[in-house]
Amino acid sequence: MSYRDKIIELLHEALVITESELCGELADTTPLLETGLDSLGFAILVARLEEELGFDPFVEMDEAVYPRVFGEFVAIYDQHYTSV
Amino acid sequence: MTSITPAFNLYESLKALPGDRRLLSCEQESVTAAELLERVEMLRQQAAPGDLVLHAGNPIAALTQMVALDGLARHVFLVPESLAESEDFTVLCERFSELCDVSEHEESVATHWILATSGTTGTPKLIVHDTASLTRSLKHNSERGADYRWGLVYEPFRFAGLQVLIQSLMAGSEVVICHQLAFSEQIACLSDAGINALSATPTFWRKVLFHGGLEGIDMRQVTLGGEPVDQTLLDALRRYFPQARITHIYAATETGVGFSVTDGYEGFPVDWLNTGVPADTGRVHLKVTADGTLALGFDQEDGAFIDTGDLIEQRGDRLVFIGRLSGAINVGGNKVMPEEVEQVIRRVPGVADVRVQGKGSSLVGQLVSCQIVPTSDAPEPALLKQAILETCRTALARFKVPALIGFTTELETNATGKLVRKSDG
Repeated sequence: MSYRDKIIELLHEALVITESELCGELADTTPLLETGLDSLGFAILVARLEEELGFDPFVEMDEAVYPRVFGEFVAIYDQHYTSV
Repeated sequence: MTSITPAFNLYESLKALPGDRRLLSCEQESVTAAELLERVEMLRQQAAPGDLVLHAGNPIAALTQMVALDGLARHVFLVPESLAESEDFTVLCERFSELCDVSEHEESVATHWILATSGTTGTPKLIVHDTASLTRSLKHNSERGADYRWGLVYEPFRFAGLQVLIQSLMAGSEVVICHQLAFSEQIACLSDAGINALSATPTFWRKVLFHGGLEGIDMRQVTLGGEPVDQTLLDALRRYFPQARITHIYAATETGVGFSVTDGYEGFPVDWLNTGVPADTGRVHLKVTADGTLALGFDQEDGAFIDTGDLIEQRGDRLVFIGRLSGAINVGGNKVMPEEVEQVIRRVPGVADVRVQGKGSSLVGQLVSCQIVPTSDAPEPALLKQAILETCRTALARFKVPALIGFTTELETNATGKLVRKSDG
């Protein structure tokens, strides 16, 4: 099971909240900085995901890992699922 | 001829009132000035303790004690029920003892009243007042006092509650004590008693406006204090109570009353920074600190200014209060005052009231989060959220727009009637 769909849904919500637009396709290889969300937008996305999923994987990390592309971002959430 | 001699003694004030003047009502009990005086005289025949911890308990009994002790006791620690029940109480009693020991050999006729602050950060502090500093801005006209019947929704032994009680003693106004009741019961009690004056926080007044129940009252005096008062609320109160005089008071337990504003506008005139605030008993001086907070200086004291910790901002020819310095939310280095966002959200139809607080974010430190109490005819949540976001986006910088919107049925208030905000991150 992957959180991918939920992440995409809330990413679009964060784009609306911050009045940003999705720049092109959202693929695993799309760099986060090119999705249309800035740091505030991502903070909102992570907060909304925490509200809906019940966890914030970035808080729980022992070592800070910064996802560079969209696929890595999804993977961080999916890893949490498998490790629980 | 009206009696306007300032009496800085509660006992003397009580003696000066017409005996048949009704003064206090609490649940089933009520007393006239003569009845209260009789009880006070009995207490005064007993040897007064030098130092005493006085619990609120039954309000009429507590006020009787307070009047009896004025001018006789040295230090009296006034303890509201909410303080007695709190974890800080033991520590504060120890501090009170230390305070009494230290000033044992001081020559002083004036009784010192010790109050605890409500303590937004850490343990509450003890503040020493005497009857003069507690009553600095109160009126002494007992002829006009007969025209007013006050509701008391504050705890009697908190600063704001004491202002209502002592004012009534000095002016001979009746006070209907109902702070101990739940909100809707308070409204019923106030309405049944036919009060025409009420002092409460802006949060309380907003509940009054939405809850209804006081429309039939011939309100003559609306007093607000304890939280920033915005123009929207002042205008709404004027529409709701067209006959009332509306006063907002800036005061703190630490400083006593700073000033009151009755011109119908939020904040206070910028000019007061130069002229000070005109007052019957000594001028109050105002200064803006480097942090942008208001500092008060009193003629009677040593000339030192007290930093209130309240941020002010100039708008036109007024200075308005925008919140506590300690209450700012930090979104990626950008400061957001909860009160500013709350004022914007309140404009949205369907919002009865709102609380804004900071939610911790691993990415930007904090985000703006809000909890909405919807009106009974509010649109469904998804639409209401949409409306809130659109209104906020138009009025606020993007980092101030709430990232999280939740719904609740009630907003928590603390022992002094102020909205409680719990921020994390």
